[in-house]
Amino acid sequence: MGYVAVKGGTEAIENAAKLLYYERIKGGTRPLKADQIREQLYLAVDRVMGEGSLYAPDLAALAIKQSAGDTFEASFMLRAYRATKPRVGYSIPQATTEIKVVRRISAAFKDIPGGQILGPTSDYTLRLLDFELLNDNQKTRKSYINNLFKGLRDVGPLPESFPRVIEIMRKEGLLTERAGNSGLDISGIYDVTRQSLTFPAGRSATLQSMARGETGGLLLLAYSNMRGYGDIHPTVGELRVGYVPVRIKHPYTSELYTVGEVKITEAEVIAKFTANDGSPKFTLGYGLCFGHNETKAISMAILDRAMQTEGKRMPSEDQEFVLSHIDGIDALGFCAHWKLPHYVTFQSDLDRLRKTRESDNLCGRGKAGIEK
Amino acid sequence: MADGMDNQSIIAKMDDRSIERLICLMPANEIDIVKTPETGLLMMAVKDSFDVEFYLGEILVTEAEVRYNGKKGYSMVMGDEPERAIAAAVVDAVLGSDNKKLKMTVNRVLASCMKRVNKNEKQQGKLTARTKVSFETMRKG
Repeated sequence: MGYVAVKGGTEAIENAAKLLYYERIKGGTRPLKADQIREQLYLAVDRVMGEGSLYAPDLAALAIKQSAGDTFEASFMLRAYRATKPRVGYSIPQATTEIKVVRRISAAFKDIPGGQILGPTSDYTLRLLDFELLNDNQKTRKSYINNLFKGLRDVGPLPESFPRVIEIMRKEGLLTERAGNSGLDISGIYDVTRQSLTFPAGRSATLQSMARGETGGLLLLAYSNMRGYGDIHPTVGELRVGYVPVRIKHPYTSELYTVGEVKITEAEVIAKFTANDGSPKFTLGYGLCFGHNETKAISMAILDRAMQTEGKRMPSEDQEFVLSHIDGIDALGFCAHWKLPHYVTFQSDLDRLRKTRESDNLCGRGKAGIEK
Repeated sequence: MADGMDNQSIIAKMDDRSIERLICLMPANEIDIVKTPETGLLMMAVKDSFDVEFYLGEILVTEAEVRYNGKKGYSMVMGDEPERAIAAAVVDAVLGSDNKKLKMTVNRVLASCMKRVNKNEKQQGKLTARTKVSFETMRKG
């Protein structure tokens, strides 16, 4: 179908943009600073960085402010920003074994090496509104922090590292080991930002696509599988939230150079599987994303496993279906474009419909006819 | 370097005032800026549980290069942080130079900052450690 462009309306469009800006500031409350958003709405910042595929907490906070809290729009702004910057290099592939854990749990094993660390979570709390937050101020915060830090002297330190929970099953040979592309060098990793995604997609392209996917989109597809449109019955083998180092090679000395660290969420889900020879084994689904976003990492892991299902029947098992529909910016763009003028194409449809009805009436086939 | 933290990691975690102080310690007239701080994107590569490598996403970074006494200094820091990038590049150049006195001064400042960073991280680690849980399985019947 061909499209016909429209022109004009510049003044109205400019006024609409001004009105949008005014909507955010007309209330009279104090301006929201980007650093407040970064610190106090950190989960929104993490989500936007993940979906925008750019780790830049200050810019994500600014985008949230500018978009008045719309995470789709904010992620879009980050993607647009990244398009203006040169890529200066690639980090050394980092394993998450070096993670500095702030949260680490397993739903599969009660006792795990290093222990289960709940960290900052709302998992075991009631989702009741905390009306005391209406009186949030520096004094109450200081008092809260003082109380929290009391008695810390007697608390032992966290272990330096935590072995992966799945290693327990690996040692017993209970886990299916899949052939990966670990033998390839850095140029062998697929980059969906530079190469068009083709199907069937390799593992690196699949994981990258999901890591930049929209949380709600990933959750929807994973949820369909959990509810029965698929049958992987996942168990969270391990969920980890923490900081991993980012390293490059020093350009002059070639020594390891630490650029900093990023917060990540990693999920490994375990699902039972019966091999062709009839022997039961466990298989693994893997999820990893920027920031603290457990829903995204678990959904990603479930979809990773679901897409490995033999004899695919359900949408969540179909790689092309999943990877083509999880990008928030793609989906937002397509959805938003329907709001743009389609006058000529729609008039064309309208003309065709009217002519068909007229022709039906002339032939005596029309029921309602067209009133004149 | 001490407690497993390298110089770049210390500089990455220094507050803005410490960065300013570190820059002030340097002999500005002997330092040439080879590459002014510029932001760019570093693609982060990671490994999954099967050691398959993939790209997690890009990171906003600032790069800078300086020269001190014929020694090149390079830096890449996270975020749009031109001062931090300059400080890191100068430290890189100074620690590669023959100026023992300045090297000692820089190392002393870094060690002091690292102490503060370690103390803070230890406290945060203890808050996390206090959430270590041991669930009990309930018996049926």
